[in-house]
Amino acid sequence: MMSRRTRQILLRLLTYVMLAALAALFLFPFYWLLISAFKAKDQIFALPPQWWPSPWRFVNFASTFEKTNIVRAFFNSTVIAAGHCTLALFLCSLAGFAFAKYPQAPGRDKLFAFVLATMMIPGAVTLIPVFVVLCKLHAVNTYWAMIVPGAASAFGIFWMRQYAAENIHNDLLDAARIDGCGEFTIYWRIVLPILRPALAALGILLVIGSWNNLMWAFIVLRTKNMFTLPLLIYLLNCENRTPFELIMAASLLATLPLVAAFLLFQRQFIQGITAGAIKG
Amino acid sequence: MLLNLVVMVVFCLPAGGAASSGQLLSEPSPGVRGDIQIWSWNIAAASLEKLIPSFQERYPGVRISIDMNGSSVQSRFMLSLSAGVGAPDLSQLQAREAPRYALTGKLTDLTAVARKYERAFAPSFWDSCVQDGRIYSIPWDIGPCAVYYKRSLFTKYGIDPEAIETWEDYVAAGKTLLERSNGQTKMLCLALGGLSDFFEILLQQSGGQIFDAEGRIALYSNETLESLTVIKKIMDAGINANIFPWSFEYFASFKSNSIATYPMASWFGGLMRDYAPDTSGDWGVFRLPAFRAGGLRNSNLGGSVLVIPAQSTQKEAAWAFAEYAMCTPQAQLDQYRDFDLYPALLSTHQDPFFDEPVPFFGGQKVRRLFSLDIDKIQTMNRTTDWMEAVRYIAQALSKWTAGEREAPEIVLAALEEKLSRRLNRPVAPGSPSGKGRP
Repeated sequence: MMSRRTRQILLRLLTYVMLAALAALFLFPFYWLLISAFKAKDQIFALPPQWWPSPWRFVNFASTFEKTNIVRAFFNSTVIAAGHCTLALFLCSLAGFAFAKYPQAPGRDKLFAFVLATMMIPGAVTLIPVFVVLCKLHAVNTYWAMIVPGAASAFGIFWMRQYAAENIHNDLLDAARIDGCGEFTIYWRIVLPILRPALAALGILLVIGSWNNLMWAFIVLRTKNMFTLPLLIYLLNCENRTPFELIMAASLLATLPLVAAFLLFQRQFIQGITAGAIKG
Repeated sequence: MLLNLVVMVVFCLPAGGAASSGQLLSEPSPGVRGDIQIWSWNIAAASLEKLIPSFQERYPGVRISIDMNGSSVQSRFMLSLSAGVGAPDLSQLQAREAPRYALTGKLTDLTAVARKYERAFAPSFWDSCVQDGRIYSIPWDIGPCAVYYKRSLFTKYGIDPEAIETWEDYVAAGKTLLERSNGQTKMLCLALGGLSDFFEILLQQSGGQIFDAEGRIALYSNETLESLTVIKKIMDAGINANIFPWSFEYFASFKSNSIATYPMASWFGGLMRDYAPDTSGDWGVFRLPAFRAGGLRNSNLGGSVLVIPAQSTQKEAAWAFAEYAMCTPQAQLDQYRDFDLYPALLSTHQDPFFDEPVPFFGGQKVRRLFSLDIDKIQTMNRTTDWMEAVRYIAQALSKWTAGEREAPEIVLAALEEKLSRRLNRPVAPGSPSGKGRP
């Protein structure tokens, strides 16, 4: 008979082995990306696969900078991700706060149900109407076309509403009102700081989504100077002369900021779950 | 897939938005200045690039940048047309898709400057450039068809390419080949899921249509029936290898001895040279087998056109280049010589260059062979739904060939009904399927 303690240790060991296997599975594409970015084109496709580049071809990166407008694409991606994230966080938190804390607003529940109902509509259905609207507004091929659509997403509003409902106490709002605070000032100075953990978590999702957005960028960004990173990389594909080594190098460069940003925000994300304005 | 959907629906948007003058009314002056951008792909782009110096001798004020811009050129072109921003000054399009683009109303009307070339091109190609009597594009290259064969295999197994005059002969030769090679060598690649190119070749050769002149479904005809019968005979005889066109296996087959022939278009020779330069001299070409003795032995697959988007601000300079590259015999001949783009411009076909032996094909005069009967190739009624129709047809053919391969009549009757339903077009009156109402 195994002692309870041995069983626990074995169980834990098994868990770790499985987790390690899963982690390896998920890390493998990154590893492949990393080594491929330093290989020559024929080495990428060599059989049997080369697990370690030799030599390390840093020249792939030099030619990426030389042959593609990747600096501009970095700039575009950054402006769009930052713009979209900021606007979406503002709109979602504002709406989420209002849905959570203004029960007296007429038609609030119906309106909220309506917002939730829009989550049922597959995103693909809206691609064409939104494109048509943007055409009519002459907004195609501008940053706005990437920043504005989807900024007031139902998911974001729902997320914020749930967080606000649980973490913002009416007493706090009443206290602010007694002190003469206007409603927008309450939102700006009291609610927003409390929502920070939720903002950080949603912000991560928004930035990742915006940074990786290929489909919509393909549709609304029409000229090279407006291309974002995913679009630039996608359009390096050519029928039978695709520069895979450049694609790999550019993909690696495009992934790095995201990984860095994620690690940076993740701490706040985890801490934030438990943080709140009123303690005890 | 999703993107295709978007692009398809965007097609259907009414032509609105930013109105720009969509007509080119005057000939460009030699002093015209401009900086034009061209979208093109593959060897076609390389071919245009090579023409720039000689073009600039005539129009020194025009600078040209050619953008081999990778994936989904045509989808992106359509989106740029719809949005009114981001299209180049000149773009390549597949000839069979040109009518869809013309219908958006966002291409420059070239009638005033291009009408004089009406008789310079074969009617079957010129017609896809014309929409309601207006000219929106200019033919570039065409894809007359023949059968490429491997000389060493034909010699080894004692097959005479000159004796293959009909599809019947072709199938018989395939059987002989299969028998004598103990099943090692198949006559051609014909994959269950990749029949559409071969079907299009047969359809255009047979005189069959998908749509009639009024855009009604007219697939079911004796001609189409004959085309399907050829496919059925090939499949029933088992002389085809189930290799998908343009797959790695397909390209690899150039160098192995597993496939003896490729019924294909003229531009295919360029691909062969690219993929299997060391097989030079071992290839020959014989004319496309006819449906019956004395029948037409040519067809067309592919080919492209050039268009000028209405949003271009440099239409004159763009036309100057298009006219030079497409309508000047020397420029067309250069493109054929260097890049295997078969000239759409008929006057070039008289050039002695067409009678030169081609070393890659064992010294055969293949250029002349491809040019025979080009004027007899029929015009296809493309409509806006051509690509979609071909997709439905390809699906149905795959299903048919993979299964019991019942009589082609049954397939065609079912297909007509499906096309009519899916494309929302009536069946032409007089169809043997009996679905058309007069």
